[in-house]
Amino acid sequence: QELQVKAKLFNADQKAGISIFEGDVNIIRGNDELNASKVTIHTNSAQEPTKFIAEGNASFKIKTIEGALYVGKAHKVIYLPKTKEYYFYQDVHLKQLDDKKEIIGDEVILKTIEGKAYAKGAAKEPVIMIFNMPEDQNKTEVQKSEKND
Amino acid sequence: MNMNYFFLFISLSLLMILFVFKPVEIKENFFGDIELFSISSFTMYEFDPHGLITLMNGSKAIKYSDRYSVDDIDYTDSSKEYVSNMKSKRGIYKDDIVYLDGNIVYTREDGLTFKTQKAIYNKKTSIAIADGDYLLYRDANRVIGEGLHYNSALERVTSKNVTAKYQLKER
Repeated sequence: QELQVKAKLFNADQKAGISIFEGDVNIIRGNDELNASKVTIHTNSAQEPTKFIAEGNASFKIKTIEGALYVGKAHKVIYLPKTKEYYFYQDVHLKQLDDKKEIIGDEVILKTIEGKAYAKGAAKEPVIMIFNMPEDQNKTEVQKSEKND
Repeated sequence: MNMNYFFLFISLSLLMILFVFKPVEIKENFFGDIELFSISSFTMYEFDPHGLITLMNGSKAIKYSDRYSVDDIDYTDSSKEYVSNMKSKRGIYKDDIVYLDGNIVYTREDGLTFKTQKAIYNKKTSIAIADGDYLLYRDANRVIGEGLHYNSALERVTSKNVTAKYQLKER
């Protein structure tokens, strides 16, 4: 699958297998999109990307294999293409759009193959998970219908 | 008429030559940039004590005192760990620097290739610089951008306003 990276500045050290993109970096891969100030791409000897590190106000939109759609932001995002896993660090705010779930924490792992997310809070700070419970849903619908009458 | 006056007159006339006459300005032609020779369909080899360092051929070349001007230049730098070859419509080879112009294709032995319209390759530092737009690719990865600075010895690339495309293997 093709992954496209756009940026203002590009520096690559082929011997070390490191490419650094800076300045309004935009990455698109299929339905997934990632924006950040700086992205470092590690490649192996066959020039295949093995790790992406996005830093500086990273914002993203990710679709898992099962079709779940996540959007969010974090200070730092690491993506491992081989295992299709995302690691979000510092001020992480992850929203699952189609299911109205939210995760706020300091460290979140999203495994797109399994479709699971793991979260960890910063020292002395909880992980906040927001779910839209079905009862709430009924209540909101009832409230809406009352308003309309 | 007194003879003295006569000799005085003659002396004065002779002295006038010094002041009145000017050297005639002959236009001096400076023959610096002349074609020493012109050859076509040539191959040039440069050797140093270690062996072949440069191979250059072209459809036509003019040798000046300080440079070669070559059409359809095909220049190979064999003096480094990785051999690099560059082809273009026109090239000037001067003091170990190749100025390339028109449909340039630079290829390095490990497969790295870039294409552009104007570039300068410095053989001493093995640095290629292309100021305009370029396309660079190696294996399945490719980069389009402008202002390429490629150091073949250190295998380092620097550029601006890029769009890079990587191929990810699906699991």
